[in-house]
Amino acid sequence: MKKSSWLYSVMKMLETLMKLEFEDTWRWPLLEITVIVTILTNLSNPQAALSYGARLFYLYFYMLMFTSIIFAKTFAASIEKGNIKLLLSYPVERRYIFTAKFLLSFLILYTAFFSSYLASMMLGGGHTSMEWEVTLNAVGVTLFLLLLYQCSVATLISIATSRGMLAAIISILALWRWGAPVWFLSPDNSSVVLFRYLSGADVSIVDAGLALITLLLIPLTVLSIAYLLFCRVMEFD
Amino acid sequence: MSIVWFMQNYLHTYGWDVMGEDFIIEAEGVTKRFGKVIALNNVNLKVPSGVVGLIGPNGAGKTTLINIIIGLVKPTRGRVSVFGCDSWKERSKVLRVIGVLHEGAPYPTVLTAIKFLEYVARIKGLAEPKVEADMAIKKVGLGWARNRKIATFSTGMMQRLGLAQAIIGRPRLVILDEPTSNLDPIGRVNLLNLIHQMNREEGISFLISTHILPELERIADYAIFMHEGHVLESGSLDELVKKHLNYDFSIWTQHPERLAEALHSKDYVKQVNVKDGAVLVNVEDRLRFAMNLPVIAAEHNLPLIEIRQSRRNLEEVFMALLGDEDAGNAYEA
Ligand SMILES: Nc1ncnc2c1ncn2[C@@H]1O[C@H](COP(=O)(O)OP(=O)(O)O)[C@@H](O)[C@H]1O
Ligand SMILES: [Mg+2]
Repeated sequence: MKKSSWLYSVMKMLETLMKLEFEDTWRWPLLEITVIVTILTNLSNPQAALSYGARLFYLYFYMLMFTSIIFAKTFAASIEKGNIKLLLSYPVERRYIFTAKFLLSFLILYTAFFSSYLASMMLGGGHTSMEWEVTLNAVGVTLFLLLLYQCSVATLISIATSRGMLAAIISILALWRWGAPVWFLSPDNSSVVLFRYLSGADVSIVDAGLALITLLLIPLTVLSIAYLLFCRVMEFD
Repeated sequence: MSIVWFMQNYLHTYGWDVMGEDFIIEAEGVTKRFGKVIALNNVNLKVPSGVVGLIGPNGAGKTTLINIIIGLVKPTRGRVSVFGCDSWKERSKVLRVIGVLHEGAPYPTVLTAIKFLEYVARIKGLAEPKVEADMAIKKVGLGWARNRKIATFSTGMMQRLGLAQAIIGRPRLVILDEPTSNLDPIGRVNLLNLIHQMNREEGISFLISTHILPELERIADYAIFMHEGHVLESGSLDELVKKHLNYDFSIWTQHPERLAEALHSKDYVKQVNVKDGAVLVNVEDRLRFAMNLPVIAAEHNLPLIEIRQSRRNLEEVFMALLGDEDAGNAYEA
Protein backbone atom coordinates (compact mmCIF):
# COMPACT_ATOMS: atom_id res chain seq x y z
CA MET A 1 0.00 0.00 0.00
CA LYS A 2 1.27 3.45 -0.84
CA LYS A 3 2.48 5.27 2.24
CA SER A 4 0.87 8.54 1.30
CA SER A 5 -2.55 7.09 0.54
CA TRP A 6 -5.58 8.07 2.54
CA LEU A 7 -6.32 4.48 3.48
CA TYR A 8 -2.83 3.98 4.81
CA SER A 9 -3.04 6.93 7.15
CA VAL A 10 -6.46 5.82 8.38
CA MET A 11 -5.17 2.31 9.08
CA LYS A 12 -2.12 3.74 10.81
CA MET A 13 -4.29 5.95 13.00
CA LEU A 14 -6.61 3.07 13.91
CA GLU A 15 -3.64 0.87 14.71
CA THR A 16 -2.15 3.49 17.03
CA LEU A 17 -5.45 4.14 18.77
CA MET A 18 -6.11 0.43 19.22
CA LYS A 19 -2.66 -0.19 20.64
CA LEU A 20 -3.06 2.66 23.08
CA GLU A 21 -6.52 1.43 24.03
CA PHE A 22 -5.15 -2.06 24.48
CA GLU A 23 -2.38 -0.95 26.80
CA ASP A 24 -4.63 1.40 28.73
CA THR A 25 -7.79 -0.69 29.10
CA TRP A 26 -6.72 -4.28 28.70
CA ARG A 27 -4.02 -4.10 31.28
CA TRP A 28 -3.17 -7.33 33.08
CA PRO A 29 -5.10 -9.36 34.14
CA LEU A 30 -8.29 -8.41 32.29
CA LEU A 31 -7.36 -10.25 29.11
CA GLU A 32 -6.06 -13.31 30.94
CA ILE A 33 -9.16 -13.53 33.11
CA THR A 34 -11.43 -13.24 30.11
CA VAL A 35 -9.76 -16.10 28.29
CA ILE A 36 -9.42 -18.41 31.30
CA VAL A 37 -12.94 -17.88 32.53
CA THR A 38 -14.50 -18.44 29.13
CA ILE A 39 -12.58 -21.68 28.70
CA LEU A 40 -13.58 -22.85 32.16
CA THR A 41 -17.24 -22.02 31.67
CA ASN A 42 -17.27 -23.89 28.41
CA LEU A 43 -15.57 -26.91 29.95
CA SER A 44 -17.73 -27.01 33.03
CA ASN A 45 -20.93 -26.86 31.02
CA PRO A 46 -23.06 -29.57 32.61
CA GLN A 47 -24.85 -30.31 29.36
CA ALA A 48 -21.76 -31.51 27.58
CA ALA A 49 -23.91 -33.72 25.45
CA LEU A 50 -25.87 -30.79 24.09
CA SER A 51 -25.67 -29.94 20.45
CA TYR A 52 -23.16 -27.25 19.58
CA GLY A 53 -25.99 -24.95 18.68
CA ALA A 54 -27.55 -25.33 22.12
CA ARG A 55 -24.18 -24.70 23.71
CA LEU A 56 -24.11 -21.35 22.01
CA PHE A 57 -27.30 -20.53 23.81
CA TYR A 58 -25.60 -21.10 27.18
CA LEU A 59 -22.51 -19.30 26.09
CA TYR A 60 -24.68 -16.29 25.33
CA PHE A 61 -25.26 -15.69 29.04
CA TYR A 62 -21.59 -15.92 29.96
CA MET A 63 -20.71 -13.68 27.08
CA LEU A 64 -23.07 -10.93 28.06
CA MET A 65 -21.33 -10.50 31.42
CA PHE A 66 -17.96 -9.89 29.80
CA THR A 67 -19.34 -7.80 26.99
CA SER A 68 -21.24 -5.55 29.37
CA ILE A 69 -18.34 -5.00 31.73
CA ILE A 70 -15.76 -4.50 29.02
CA PHE A 71 -17.81 -2.07 26.98
CA ALA A 72 -18.72 -0.16 30.11
CA LYS A 73 -15.00 0.22 30.67
CA THR A 74 -14.15 1.02 27.05
CA PHE A 75 -16.81 3.63 26.46
CA ALA A 76 -18.64 4.74 29.62
CA ALA A 77 -15.67 4.82 31.98
CA SER A 78 -13.42 6.59 29.50
CA ILE A 79 -16.06 9.23 28.84
CA GLU A 80 -16.54 9.58 32.60
CA LYS A 81 -12.84 9.91 33.38
CA GLY A 82 -12.06 12.22 30.47
CA ASN A 83 -9.80 9.87 28.47
CA ILE A 84 -11.80 10.59 25.34
CA LYS A 85 -11.56 14.32 25.99
CA LEU A 86 -7.79 13.92 26.11
CA LEU A 87 -7.78 11.99 22.82
CA LEU A 88 -9.98 14.62 21.20
CA SER A 89 -7.37 17.25 22.03
CA TYR A 90 -5.17 15.67 19.39
CA PRO A 91 -5.93 15.89 15.69
CA VAL A 92 -8.04 12.73 15.53
CA GLU A 93 -11.64 12.42 14.38
CA ARG A 94 -14.39 11.17 16.63
CA ARG A 95 -15.19 8.33 14.21
CA TYR A 96 -11.71 6.86 14.54
CA ILE A 97 -11.85 6.86 18.31
CA PHE A 98 -15.25 5.17 18.20
CA THR A 99 -14.15 2.62 15.61
CA ALA A 100 -10.87 1.81 17.34
CA LYS A 101 -12.52 1.27 20.71
CA PHE A 102 -15.34 -0.86 19.33
CA LEU A 103 -13.18 -2.89 16.99
CA LEU A 104 -10.52 -3.71 19.57
CA SER A 105 -12.93 -4.92 22.24
CA PHE A 106 -15.00 -6.80 19.70
CA LEU A 107 -12.02 -8.58 18.21
CA ILE A 108 -10.57 -9.55 21.59
CA LEU A 109 -13.90 -10.87 22.85
CA TYR A 110 -14.55 -12.75 19.62
CA THR A 111 -11.13 -14.36 19.70
CA ALA A 112 -11.50 -15.27 23.36
CA PHE A 113 -14.97 -16.78 22.97
CA PHE A 114 -14.25 -18.57 19.74
CA SER A 115 -11.00 -20.08 20.94
CA SER A 116 -12.55 -21.15 24.21
CA TYR A 117 -15.38 -22.75 22.29
CA LEU A 118 -12.78 -24.51 20.20
CA ALA A 119 -10.96 -25.66 23.31
CA SER A 120 -14.13 -27.02 24.85
CA MET A 121 -14.88 -28.90 21.63
CA MET A 122 -11.49 -30.52 21.67
CA LEU A 123 -11.34 -31.25 25.38
CA GLY A 124 -14.98 -31.72 26.26
CA GLY A 125 -15.83 -34.47 23.81
CA GLY A 126 -19.59 -34.97 23.65
CA HIS A 127 -21.44 -34.48 20.46
CA THR A 128 -19.46 -35.50 17.42
CA SER A 129 -22.07 -36.13 14.80
CA MET A 130 -21.24 -32.92 12.92
CA GLU A 131 -18.23 -32.35 10.79
CA TRP A 132 -15.61 -30.19 12.46
CA GLU A 133 -15.31 -27.85 9.59
CA VAL A 134 -19.02 -27.39 9.28
CA THR A 135 -19.37 -26.84 13.01
CA LEU A 136 -16.66 -24.26 13.10
CA ASN A 137 -18.25 -22.42 10.21
CA ALA A 138 -21.64 -22.43 11.81
CA VAL A 139 -20.39 -21.56 15.25
CA GLY A 140 -17.97 -18.96 13.92
CA VAL A 141 -20.62 -17.06 12.03
CA THR A 142 -23.33 -17.37 14.66
CA LEU A 143 -20.98 -16.42 17.45
CA PHE A 144 -19.90 -13.42 15.42
CA LEU A 145 -23.47 -12.24 15.03
CA LEU A 146 -24.36 -12.95 18.66
CA LEU A 147 -21.39 -10.97 19.85
CA LEU A 148 -22.01 -8.17 17.40
CA TYR A 149 -25.51 -7.84 18.79
CA GLN A 150 -24.29 -7.83 22.39
CA CYS A 151 -21.51 -5.39 21.71
CA SER A 152 -23.69 -2.95 19.84
CA VAL A 153 -26.29 -2.90 22.62
CA ALA A 154 -23.59 -2.56 25.29
CA THR A 155 -21.98 0.28 23.33
CA LEU A 156 -25.26 2.16 23.03
CA ILE A 157 -26.02 1.78 26.72
CA SER A 158 -22.47 2.74 27.72
CA ILE A 159 -22.58 5.93 25.70
CA ALA A 160 -26.10 6.80 26.77
CA THR A 161 -25.29 6.47 30.47
CA SER A 162 -21.66 7.64 30.34
CA ARG A 163 -21.18 6.11 33.79
CA GLY A 164 -19.05 2.99 34.15
CA MET A 165 -20.88 1.05 36.85
CA LEU A 166 -24.34 2.04 35.69
CA ALA A 167 -23.59 1.05 32.11
CA ALA A 168 -22.35 -2.39 33.15
CA ILE A 169 -25.44 -3.13 35.23
CA ILE A 170 -27.95 -1.86 32.69
CA SER A 171 -26.20 -3.68 29.84
CA ILE A 172 -26.26 -6.98 31.74
CA LEU A 173 -29.92 -6.59 32.55
CA ALA A 174 -30.88 -5.49 29.06
CA LEU A 175 -28.98 -8.26 27.31
CA TRP A 176 -30.32 -10.78 29.77
CA ARG A 177 -33.91 -9.68 29.49
CA TRP A 178 -34.13 -8.98 25.75
CA GLY A 179 -31.23 -10.98 24.39
CA ALA A 180 -32.81 -14.39 24.37
CA PRO A 181 -36.11 -13.28 22.85
CA VAL A 182 -34.33 -11.45 20.09
CA TRP A 183 -31.99 -14.28 19.39
CA PHE A 184 -33.68 -17.55 20.10
CA LEU A 185 -37.39 -17.14 20.54
CA SER A 186 -38.23 -14.57 17.90
CA PRO A 187 -41.01 -15.64 15.56
CA ASP A 188 -38.76 -16.25 12.60
CA ASN A 189 -35.94 -17.74 14.67
CA SER A 190 -33.33 -16.06 12.53
CA SER A 191 -30.29 -17.32 14.36
CA VAL A 192 -31.55 -20.90 14.41
CA VAL A 193 -32.38 -20.76 10.72
CA LEU A 194 -28.94 -19.43 9.92
CA PHE A 195 -27.16 -21.85 12.20
CA ARG A 196 -28.98 -24.79 10.69
CA TYR A 197 -28.24 -23.62 7.17
CA LEU A 198 -24.55 -23.27 7.98
CA SER A 199 -24.48 -26.70 9.65
CA GLY A 200 -25.76 -28.23 6.47
CA ALA A 201 -29.41 -28.75 7.40
CA ASP A 202 -32.16 -28.49 4.83
CA VAL A 203 -32.84 -24.76 4.81
CA SER A 204 -33.36 -22.71 1.69
CA ILE A 205 -30.72 -20.15 0.85
CA VAL A 206 -33.34 -17.43 0.64
CA ASP A 207 -34.44 -18.03 4.23
CA ALA A 208 -30.84 -18.15 5.38
CA GLY A 209 -30.05 -14.94 3.51
CA LEU A 210 -33.01 -13.17 5.04
CA ALA A 211 -31.96 -14.39 8.47
CA LEU A 212 -28.43 -13.11 7.93
CA ILE A 213 -29.67 -9.71 6.80
CA THR A 214 -31.96 -9.45 9.82
CA LEU A 215 -29.18 -10.45 12.17
CA LEU A 216 -26.81 -7.91 10.66
CA LEU A 217 -29.37 -5.17 10.39
CA ILE A 218 -30.29 -5.09 14.08
CA PRO A 219 -26.77 -4.59 15.48
CA LEU A 220 -25.73 -2.23 12.71
CA THR A 221 -28.76 -0.03 13.36
CA VAL A 222 -28.05 -0.03 17.07
CA LEU A 223 -24.42 0.77 16.35
CA SER A 224 -25.30 3.69 14.09
CA ILE A 225 -27.51 5.14 16.79
CA ALA A 226 -24.68 4.61 19.27
CA TYR A 227 -22.27 6.48 17.00
CA LEU A 228 -24.60 9.43 16.53
CA LEU A 229 -25.09 9.56 20.27
CA PHE A 230 -21.34 9.38 20.77
CA CYS A 231 -20.88 12.45 18.59
CA ARG A 232 -23.61 14.25 20.52
CA VAL A 233 -22.10 13.34 23.89
CA MET A 234 -18.69 14.41 22.64
CA GLU A 235 -19.97 17.93 22.02
CA PHE A 236 -19.97 18.17 25.80
CA ASP A 237 -23.16 20.11 26.30
CA MET B 1 -7.82 26.38 1.44
CA SER B 2 -7.20 30.04 1.22
CA ILE B 3 -3.91 31.67 0.38
CA VAL B 4 -3.91 33.27 3.80
CA TRP B 5 -4.18 29.91 5.46
CA PHE B 6 -1.37 28.61 3.32
CA MET B 7 0.84 31.53 4.17
CA GLN B 8 0.13 31.25 7.84
CA ASN B 9 0.70 27.53 8.02
CA TYR B 10 3.56 26.86 5.68
CA LEU B 11 5.59 29.99 5.31
CA HIS B 12 5.68 30.25 9.05
CA THR B 13 7.43 26.91 9.22
CA TYR B 14 10.34 28.41 7.34
CA GLY B 15 10.61 31.34 9.65
CA TRP B 16 8.69 33.80 7.50
CA ASP B 17 6.63 35.92 9.73
CA VAL B 18 4.36 36.98 6.92
CA MET B 19 1.34 37.75 9.00
CA GLY B 20 3.28 39.64 11.63
CA GLU B 21 0.55 41.66 13.24
CA ASP B 22 -2.28 39.19 12.78
CA PHE B 23 -4.34 37.71 15.57
CA ILE B 24 -4.01 33.99 16.18
CA ILE B 25 -7.40 33.49 17.81
CA GLU B 26 -10.55 35.41 17.00
CA ALA B 27 -13.86 34.87 18.78
CA GLU B 28 -17.04 36.44 17.48
CA GLY B 29 -20.14 36.58 19.66
CA VAL B 30 -19.41 33.28 21.38
CA THR B 31 -22.11 32.15 23.79
CA LYS B 32 -22.17 28.80 25.56
CA ARG B 33 -25.01 27.53 27.70
CA PHE B 34 -24.99 24.37 29.79
CA GLY B 35 -28.70 23.95 30.45
CA LYS B 36 -29.56 27.04 32.43
CA VAL B 37 -25.98 28.02 33.19
CA ILE B 38 -24.53 30.58 30.81
CA ALA B 39 -20.84 29.76 30.88
CA LEU B 40 -19.91 32.26 28.17
CA ASN B 41 -21.96 35.29 27.26
CA ASN B 42 -21.29 36.92 23.90
CA VAL B 43 -17.52 36.80 24.03
CA ASN B 44 -15.64 38.81 21.41
CA LEU B 45 -11.92 38.49 21.42
CA LYS B 46 -8.79 38.90 19.37
CA VAL B 47 -5.67 37.25 20.71
CA PRO B 48 -2.23 38.16 19.34
CA SER B 49 0.78 35.86 19.34
CA GLY B 50 3.14 35.80 22.30
CA VAL B 51 2.51 34.78 25.89
CA VAL B 52 -1.12 35.52 26.71
CA GLY B 53 -2.73 35.24 30.13
CA LEU B 54 -6.39 34.22 30.36
CA ILE B 55 -7.25 35.47 33.78
CA GLY B 56 -10.31 35.10 35.93
CA PRO B 57 -11.68 33.58 39.11
CA ASN B 58 -13.03 30.02 39.20
CA GLY B 59 -16.21 29.70 37.19
CA ALA B 60 -15.37 32.67 34.96
CA GLY B 61 -15.57 30.48 31.86
CA LYS B 62 -11.87 30.05 31.09
CA THR B 63 -12.01 26.29 30.62
CA THR B 64 -15.15 26.53 28.52
CA LEU B 65 -13.53 29.12 26.28
CA ILE B 66 -10.45 26.93 25.89
CA ASN B 67 -12.57 23.90 25.07
CA ILE B 68 -14.34 25.90 22.38
CA ILE B 69 -11.05 27.15 20.98
CA ILE B 70 -9.78 23.59 20.55
CA GLY B 71 -13.05 22.37 19.03
CA LEU B 72 -13.96 20.11 21.93
CA VAL B 73 -17.12 21.98 22.82
CA LYS B 74 -19.53 23.41 20.28
CA PRO B 75 -20.52 26.98 21.03
CA THR B 76 -24.25 27.61 21.39
CA ARG B 77 -23.80 30.71 19.27
CA GLY B 78 -20.94 32.48 17.55
CA ARG B 79 -17.69 31.19 16.14
CA VAL B 80 -14.02 30.97 16.96
CA SER B 81 -11.25 30.86 14.41
CA VAL B 82 -7.71 29.79 15.18
CA PHE B 83 -5.06 30.68 12.61
CA GLY B 84 -7.93 31.47 10.28
CA CYS B 85 -9.64 28.07 10.60
CA ASP B 86 -13.01 27.48 12.20
CA SER B 87 -12.29 25.71 15.45
CA TRP B 88 -15.38 23.49 15.32
CA LYS B 89 -15.68 22.68 11.62
CA GLU B 90 -11.96 22.33 10.95
CA ARG B 91 -10.83 21.04 14.28
CA SER B 92 -8.32 18.51 12.96
CA LYS B 93 -6.62 21.23 10.97
CA VAL B 94 -6.56 23.53 13.98
CA LEU B 95 -5.32 20.82 16.34
CA ARG B 96 -2.42 20.03 14.03
CA VAL B 97 -0.82 23.37 14.90
CA ILE B 98 -1.81 23.68 18.56
CA GLY B 99 -1.03 21.71 21.70
CA VAL B 100 -3.22 21.54 24.78
CA LEU B 101 -2.71 20.86 28.47
CA HIS B 102 -6.00 20.16 30.24
CA GLU B 103 -6.49 20.61 33.93
CA GLY B 104 -6.07 17.20 35.59
CA ALA B 105 -6.00 15.24 32.33
CA PRO B 106 -6.09 11.44 32.83
CA TYR B 107 -2.84 10.35 31.22
CA PRO B 108 -2.55 6.57 30.89
CA THR B 109 -0.84 5.80 34.19
CA VAL B 110 0.18 2.26 33.22
CA LEU B 111 2.48 3.53 30.48
CA THR B 112 5.97 4.92 30.90
CA ALA B 113 6.36 8.60 30.13
CA ILE B 114 8.31 8.04 26.93
CA LYS B 115 5.90 5.39 25.66
CA PHE B 116 2.98 7.70 26.20
CA LEU B 117 4.71 10.55 24.38
CA GLU B 118 5.44 8.22 21.49
CA TYR B 119 1.75 7.45 21.23
CA VAL B 120 0.97 11.15 21.25
CA ALA B 121 3.50 11.74 18.46
CA ARG B 122 1.94 8.93 16.43
CA ILE B 123 -1.59 10.24 16.97
CA LYS B 124 -0.42 13.67 15.90
CA GLY B 125 0.85 12.00 12.73
CA LEU B 126 4.49 13.00 13.14
CA ALA B 127 7.04 11.34 10.89
CA GLU B 128 9.47 10.27 13.60
CA PRO B 129 7.54 9.60 16.78
CA LYS B 130 10.49 8.25 18.77
CA VAL B 131 12.71 11.23 18.01
CA GLU B 132 9.92 13.73 18.69
CA ALA B 133 9.01 12.08 21.99
CA ASP B 134 12.63 12.07 23.03
CA MET B 135 13.05 15.75 22.19
CA ALA B 136 9.90 16.76 24.04
CA ILE B 137 10.72 14.89 27.23
CA LYS B 138 14.20 16.39 27.31
CA LYS B 139 12.88 19.90 26.70
CA VAL B 140 10.68 19.77 29.79
CA GLY B 141 13.50 18.35 31.87
CA LEU B 142 12.00 14.92 32.45
CA GLY B 143 14.65 12.96 30.58
CA TRP B 144 15.73 11.26 33.76
CA ALA B 145 12.23 9.85 34.35
CA ARG B 146 11.54 8.72 30.80
CA ASN B 147 11.22 5.04 31.70
CA ARG B 148 9.19 5.53 34.84
CA LYS B 149 5.50 4.73 34.87
CA ILE B 150 3.28 7.80 34.87
CA ALA B 151 1.49 6.43 37.94
CA THR B 152 4.62 7.18 39.99
CA PHE B 153 4.84 10.85 38.96
CA SER B 154 4.52 13.76 41.38
CA THR B 155 2.25 16.72 40.60
CA GLY B 156 5.14 18.78 39.29
CA MET B 157 6.32 15.96 37.04
CA MET B 158 2.76 15.48 35.84
CA GLN B 159 2.56 19.13 34.76
CA ARG B 160 5.85 18.79 32.93
CA LEU B 161 4.59 15.68 31.21
CA GLY B 162 1.47 17.62 30.29
CA LEU B 163 3.62 20.35 28.82
CA ALA B 164 5.67 17.74 26.93
CA GLN B 165 2.61 16.18 25.29
CA ALA B 166 1.41 19.65 24.35
CA ILE B 167 4.65 20.83 22.71
CA ILE B 168 5.36 17.62 20.86
CA GLY B 169 5.56 18.25 17.11
CA ARG B 170 6.42 21.96 17.42
CA PRO B 171 2.96 23.49 17.56
CA ARG B 172 2.54 27.21 16.86
CA LEU B 173 0.30 27.71 19.85
CA VAL B 174 0.18 25.88 23.18
CA ILE B 175 -2.85 26.27 25.40
CA LEU B 176 -2.42 25.56 29.10
CA ASP B 177 -5.42 25.35 31.43
CA GLU B 178 -4.43 26.21 35.01
CA PRO B 179 -0.92 24.81 34.63
CA THR B 180 0.28 26.16 37.96
CA SER B 181 -2.71 25.70 40.24
CA ASN B 182 -1.51 22.51 41.95
CA LEU B 183 2.14 23.41 42.11
CA ASP B 184 4.17 24.79 44.97
CA PRO B 185 5.75 28.22 44.46
CA ILE B 186 9.06 26.85 43.22
CA GLY B 187 7.31 24.49 40.86
CA ARG B 188 5.32 27.42 39.49
CA VAL B 189 8.34 29.57 38.87
CA ASN B 190 10.16 26.68 37.18
CA LEU B 191 7.24 25.91 34.91
CA LEU B 192 6.74 29.55 33.95
CA ASN B 193 10.44 29.94 33.24
CA LEU B 194 10.26 26.95 30.96
CA ILE B 195 7.31 28.48 29.13
CA HIS B 196 9.10 31.80 28.83
CA GLN B 197 12.17 30.11 27.42
CA MET B 198 10.21 28.16 24.83
CA ASN B 199 8.44 31.31 23.75
CA ARG B 200 11.69 33.18 23.26
CA GLU B 201 13.76 30.40 21.73
CA GLU B 202 11.20 28.64 19.55
CA GLY B 203 8.61 31.30 18.97
CA ILE B 204 5.77 29.17 20.35
CA SER B 205 2.80 31.26 21.47
CA PHE B 206 1.16 30.40 24.77
CA LEU B 207 -2.35 30.93 26.08
CA ILE B 208 -2.27 30.33 29.82
CA SER B 209 -5.42 30.29 31.90
CA THR B 210 -5.01 30.95 35.58
CA HIS B 211 -6.52 32.38 38.71
CA ILE B 212 -3.10 32.86 40.25
CA LEU B 213 -1.78 36.17 38.98
CA PRO B 214 1.53 37.18 40.51
CA GLU B 215 3.82 34.80 38.62
CA LEU B 216 2.21 35.39 35.27
CA GLU B 217 2.88 39.09 35.08
CA ARG B 218 6.56 38.39 34.68
CA ILE B 219 6.23 36.46 31.46
CA ALA B 220 2.92 37.53 29.87
CA ASP B 221 2.79 40.09 27.06
CA TYR B 222 -0.95 40.25 26.83
CA ALA B 223 -3.82 39.61 29.21
CA ILE B 224 -7.49 38.75 28.90
CA PHE B 225 -9.60 39.28 31.99
CA MET B 226 -12.73 37.19 32.37
CA HIS B 227 -15.51 37.32 34.90
CA GLU B 228 -18.84 35.45 34.94
CA GLY B 229 -18.73 34.52 31.29
CA HIS B 230 -17.73 37.95 30.02
CA VAL B 231 -14.44 39.28 28.81
CA LEU B 232 -13.99 42.33 31.00
CA GLU B 233 -11.07 43.63 29.04
CA SER B 234 -8.08 42.50 27.05
CA GLY B 235 -4.92 44.20 25.93
CA SER B 236 -1.19 44.26 26.24
CA LEU B 237 -0.05 44.36 29.83
CA ASP B 238 1.50 47.77 29.48
CA GLU B 239 -1.63 49.24 27.93
CA LEU B 240 -3.85 47.78 30.61
CA VAL B 241 -1.66 49.03 33.39
CA LYS B 242 -1.53 52.50 31.88
CA LYS B 243 -5.27 52.55 31.52
CA HIS B 244 -6.35 51.18 34.87
CA LEU B 245 -3.67 52.08 37.33
CA ASN B 246 -3.39 55.79 37.72
CA TYR B 247 0.05 55.66 39.21
CA ASP B 248 3.39 54.30 38.09
CA PHE B 249 5.24 53.77 41.36
CA SER B 250 4.25 52.93 44.89
CA ILE B 251 6.72 53.94 47.58
CA TRP B 252 6.85 52.94 51.21
CA THR B 253 8.57 55.29 53.58
CA GLN B 254 8.41 56.48 57.17
CA HIS B 255 6.26 59.59 56.66
CA PRO B 256 4.39 59.17 53.40
CA GLU B 257 2.69 62.57 53.62
CA ARG B 258 6.01 64.38 53.79
CA LEU B 259 7.37 62.56 50.78
CA ALA B 260 4.16 63.20 48.87
CA GLU B 261 4.40 66.90 49.61
CA ALA B 262 8.01 67.03 48.50
CA LEU B 263 7.25 65.26 45.23
CA HIS B 264 4.16 67.29 44.48
CA SER B 265 5.92 70.34 43.05
CA LYS B 266 8.30 68.50 40.72
CA ASP B 267 7.66 68.88 37.00
CA TYR B 268 8.39 65.24 36.21
CA VAL B 269 5.59 64.18 38.57
CA LYS B 270 2.03 64.27 37.30
CA GLN B 271 0.13 63.26 40.37
CA VAL B 272 0.76 62.09 43.92
CA ASN B 273 -1.57 60.31 46.34
CA VAL B 274 -1.22 58.60 49.64
CA LYS B 275 -3.14 55.37 50.07
CA ASP B 276 -2.79 52.62 52.68
CA GLY B 277 0.50 54.05 53.91
CA ALA B 278 2.06 54.08 50.44
CA VAL B 279 2.85 57.03 48.20
CA LEU B 280 1.36 56.43 44.78
CA VAL B 281 3.08 58.49 42.12
CA ASN B 282 2.10 59.12 38.56
CA VAL B 283 5.14 60.34 36.66
CA GLU B 284 5.78 62.30 33.49
CA ASP B 285 9.32 61.06 33.06
CA ARG B 286 10.30 57.72 34.59
CA LEU B 287 14.00 58.19 34.24
CA ARG B 288 14.19 61.61 35.85
CA PHE B 289 11.90 60.49 38.62
CA ALA B 290 14.06 57.46 39.35
CA MET B 291 17.18 59.58 39.42
CA ASN B 292 15.76 62.27 41.67
CA LEU B 293 13.77 60.22 44.14
CA PRO B 294 16.74 59.17 46.31
CA VAL B 295 17.99 62.76 46.39
CA ILE B 296 14.63 64.09 47.54
CA ALA B 297 14.31 61.35 50.12
CA ALA B 298 17.77 62.13 51.46
CA GLU B 299 17.02 65.88 51.59
CA HIS B 300 13.96 65.22 53.74
CA ASN B 301 15.71 62.56 55.73
CA LEU B 302 13.19 59.89 54.69
CA PRO B 303 14.22 56.24 54.30
CA LEU B 304 13.04 54.51 51.12
CA ILE B 305 11.79 51.26 52.57
CA GLU B 306 10.35 49.86 49.36
CA ILE B 307 9.72 51.04 45.84
CA ARG B 308 7.55 49.16 43.38
CA GLN B 309 6.79 49.81 39.78
CA SER B 310 3.12 49.36 39.05
CA ARG B 311 3.89 48.02 35.61
CA ARG B 312 2.89 44.39 35.44
CA ASN B 313 0.80 44.18 38.53
CA LEU B 314 -1.98 42.02 37.16
CA GLU B 315 -3.71 41.63 40.44
CA GLU B 316 -4.19 45.35 40.81
CA VAL B 317 -5.40 45.74 37.26
CA PHE B 318 -7.92 43.00 37.86
CA MET B 319 -9.09 44.61 41.07
CA ALA B 320 -9.44 47.93 39.31
CA LEU B 321 -11.46 46.27 36.58
CA LEU B 322 -13.87 44.63 38.95
CA GLY B 323 -14.22 47.67 41.14
CA ASP B 324 -12.84 47.62 44.63
CA GLU B 325 -15.90 46.12 46.28
CA ASP B 326 -16.43 42.72 44.75
CA ALA B 327 -12.83 42.32 43.63
CA GLY B 328 -11.90 40.74 46.92
CA ASN B 329 -14.70 38.22 46.71
CA ALA B 330 -13.98 37.38 43.13
CA TYR B 331 -10.36 36.72 43.77
CA GLU B 332 -11.15 34.55 46.73
CA ALA B 333 -13.66 32.46 44.83
N1 LIG C 1 -20.15 20.48 31.35
C1 LIG C 1 -20.74 21.44 32.08
N2 LIG C 1 -22.02 21.31 32.47
C2 LIG C 1 -22.64 22.26 33.18
N3 LIG C 1 -22.07 23.41 33.58
C3 LIG C 1 -20.79 23.62 33.24
C4 LIG C 1 -20.06 22.64 32.48
N4 LIG C 1 -18.81 23.13 32.29
C5 LIG C 1 -18.76 24.33 32.90
N5 LIG C 1 -19.95 24.63 33.47
C6 LIG C 1 -20.27 25.88 34.18
O1 LIG C 1 -19.84 26.96 33.40
C7 LIG C 1 -19.25 27.95 34.18
C8 LIG C 1 -17.85 28.24 33.72
O2 LIG C 1 -17.03 27.13 34.01
P1 LIG C 1 -15.51 27.00 33.60
O3 LIG C 1 -15.38 27.32 32.16
O4 LIG C 1 -15.04 25.66 34.02
O5 LIG C 1 -14.81 28.13 34.47
P2 LIG C 1 -13.28 28.31 34.88
O6 LIG C 1 -12.46 27.37 34.06
O7 LIG C 1 -13.00 29.74 34.57
O8 LIG C 1 -13.18 28.02 36.32
C9 LIG C 1 -19.34 27.48 35.63
O9 LIG C 1 -20.43 28.08 36.23
C10 LIG C 1 -19.52 26.00 35.49
O10 LIG C 1 -20.27 25.50 36.56
MG1 LIG D 1 -11.13 25.88 34.71
